[in-house]
Amino acid sequence: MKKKITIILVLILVIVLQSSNVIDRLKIGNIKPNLIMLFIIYISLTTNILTSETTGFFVGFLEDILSQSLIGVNALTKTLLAFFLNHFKTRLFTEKIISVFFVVFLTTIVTKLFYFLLILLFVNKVNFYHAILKIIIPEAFYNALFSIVVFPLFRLILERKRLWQKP
Amino acid sequence: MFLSFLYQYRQYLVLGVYVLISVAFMIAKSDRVNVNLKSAAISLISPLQKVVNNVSEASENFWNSIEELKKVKKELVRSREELEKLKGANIEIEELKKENERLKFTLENQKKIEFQTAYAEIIAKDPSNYYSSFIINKGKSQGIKINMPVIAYQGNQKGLVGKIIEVSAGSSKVLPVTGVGSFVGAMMADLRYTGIIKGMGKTSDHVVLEYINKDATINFGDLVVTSGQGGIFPKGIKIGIVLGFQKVKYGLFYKDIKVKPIIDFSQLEDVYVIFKQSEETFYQEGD
Repeated sequence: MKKKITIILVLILVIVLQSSNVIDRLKIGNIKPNLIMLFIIYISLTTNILTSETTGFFVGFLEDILSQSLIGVNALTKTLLAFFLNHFKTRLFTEKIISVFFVVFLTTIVTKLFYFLLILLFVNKVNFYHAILKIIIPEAFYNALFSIVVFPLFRLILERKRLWQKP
Repeated sequence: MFLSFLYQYRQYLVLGVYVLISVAFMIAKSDRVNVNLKSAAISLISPLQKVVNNVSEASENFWNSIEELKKVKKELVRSREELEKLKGANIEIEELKKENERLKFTLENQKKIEFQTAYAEIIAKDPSNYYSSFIINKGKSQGIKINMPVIAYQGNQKGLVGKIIEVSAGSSKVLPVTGVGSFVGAMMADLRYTGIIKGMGKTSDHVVLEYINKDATINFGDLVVTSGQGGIFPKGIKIGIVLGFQKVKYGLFYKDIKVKPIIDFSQLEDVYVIFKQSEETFYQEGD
């Protein structure tokens, strides 16, 4: 367990730092995949609720620090994402690539809508039409595609299981 | 009894605590505590970001060098053939000329800056797809202060990048002119009509020049520069060129103009932070 927590902590640090450096080079148009969100989705689907909530909160908090965004917005969004996804994980079939694709796609859309709602409430005006068409949907699609590559990688690192191997 | 109740509902308790902390930070958004915490945390993280940036650059350079090697090999074969045709000397002279021009250009850029500046490299970009701030490797210890203007050179032009919004010991956060929440006093370089340049965020290829007189005759390709109003940005720095017009709801007196920034932010790697201008009273110490 201690070993797994250490691996998660190291992964958090690497993922958060990579998200503001390397991931920028994977941009298609103006959109890059959200590796931080993918990691929280993976943790929420594979670990217990306390680990999920805590990972969501701290990763979101780190993201807030690195971003121009108001501190707390990502922390709250990612904590709630982790809580609800973990809560419903037994109803989600995430062993098939196609299921993972849709879970990530829909989770990104819901989380981002909530994120922009918080921006609207606490920061500034948001053009939701623009946000949905130019950010949320492209990012959801890119995340879903990217999850096919990174989820097996997370699995390999955290659980020492091979790509898309059934439990 | 109470402890077992706490244990039974611990997941909701933890959730409640995290939600409360997050909301408390959000509500205290303008509180200085917020800024202090952010800059302290960035001070801790930025050395790591520098390492990650260096490692990723090194690995990229490695892959690039393999690609380069292939290209160089092809180039070599081609060059040898050409060299024989041209009896050798001409190509080398051309290469030297280009190298000389490039070095001359860099030297001239340095001379052209009429302000006291600090050179800085971008070490990290905003992880989100909505905001477009970035972090540079110069901070409070190098004399950087909040609200200092940031410029860059691209091609043959000096253009406005943005301003410093957060400062920590060894790094600072820059809000680009294209970013959400960025407002810059601007004017048409030739016609002198003044307005405000508003950042439209990462997903937009343009910024918007607002509050321009509706009767102003503006043409595509007209240059927009900083007006110096507001006291943060020096007057006359190029911002962009007119791209088109934008419909304004209830725009009886003003029209909005789409402006394409002079600086290509996707290619931006290094910037200059302006230290001194005529009025320096607007710069604040970072926390």
